[in-house]
Amino acid sequence: MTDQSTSTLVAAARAGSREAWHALVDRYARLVWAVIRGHGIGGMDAADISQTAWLRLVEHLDRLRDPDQVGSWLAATTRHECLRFLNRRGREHVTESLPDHPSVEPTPEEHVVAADRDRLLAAALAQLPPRCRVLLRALTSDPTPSYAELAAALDVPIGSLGPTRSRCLARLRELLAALGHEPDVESAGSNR
Amino acid sequence: MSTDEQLLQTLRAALDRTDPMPEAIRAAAYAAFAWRDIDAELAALIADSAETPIPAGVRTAADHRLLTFRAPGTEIEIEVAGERLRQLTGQLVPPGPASITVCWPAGSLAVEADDLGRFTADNVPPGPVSLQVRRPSAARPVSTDWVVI
Repeated sequence: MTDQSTSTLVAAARAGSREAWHALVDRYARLVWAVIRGHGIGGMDAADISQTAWLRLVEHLDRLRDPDQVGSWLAATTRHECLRFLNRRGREHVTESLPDHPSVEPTPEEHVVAADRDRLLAAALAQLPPRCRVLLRALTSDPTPSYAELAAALDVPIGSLGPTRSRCLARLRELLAALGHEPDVESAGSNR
Repeated sequence: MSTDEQLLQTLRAALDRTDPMPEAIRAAAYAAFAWRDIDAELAALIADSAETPIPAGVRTAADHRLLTFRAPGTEIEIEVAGERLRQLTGQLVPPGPASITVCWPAGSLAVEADDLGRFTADNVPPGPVSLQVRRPSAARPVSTDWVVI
């Protein structure tokens, strides 16, 4: 089912196929999650928004104008729910919340550098503007979203995605440099 | 200097390690399918007082939230109050009696709207909710859009 087209999965889910629904969830759950985390929302609030996006899709399944664009529909719905939540909180400047379950396993010596790098990346990501956080989180979600889905997640024209992506990555590099980090050296030991 | 692709790859690996999507999120999304109801008419959310940003420091506006849902021939207005458990106070337009089920992922609560279309539901847990409204005269029940309260 995982290699079926999105519109095929939507049609099967409309007909009542739980398997097709699960395949849709597997395809888009991480995109929905990326949009929520990119808005700096975590914990129960993030779980509520994710579930609401999926419950809404259940209700709207028969009404989707373009079943092929269900990923864009989910991204836009999730974005909207995030903004609604942030407005309700009256928090106009939200920093990215910490992961719910930070890795607590003992860190072997050779993983220390990688863990440090992860923390610095997380810190740099948290300092980016919300639009960049959403875009970079979505770009790193699995599977990689389409341009239409990314545009829906940000509510911007598709044509602006390339320049925005470049700007956000350049800004991420600056922040990493300011944090004293060489971001892209994967080999352990060469950090600092 | 790395390429953008390499930086994204590094970021992807870091987020996979430090901030993966909890499996409970996927499980909840799977479970949402159980709420599929092909009989109900959808009442779309058409107004939400939370759409308007609340200025920092202003608390009173946040304490009462107004939601309006609309289906053909019916509007459902709800006021949401309560810090922890929520209290819903509702009004059906046009007014009239109805059986209403307040649904949330882990349970539901049945209440009745009076002859003036008024209803209340206490102790609703915060999180996603949807209301199912069945008027005696209507052929089909109406279900509201899911919304986080």
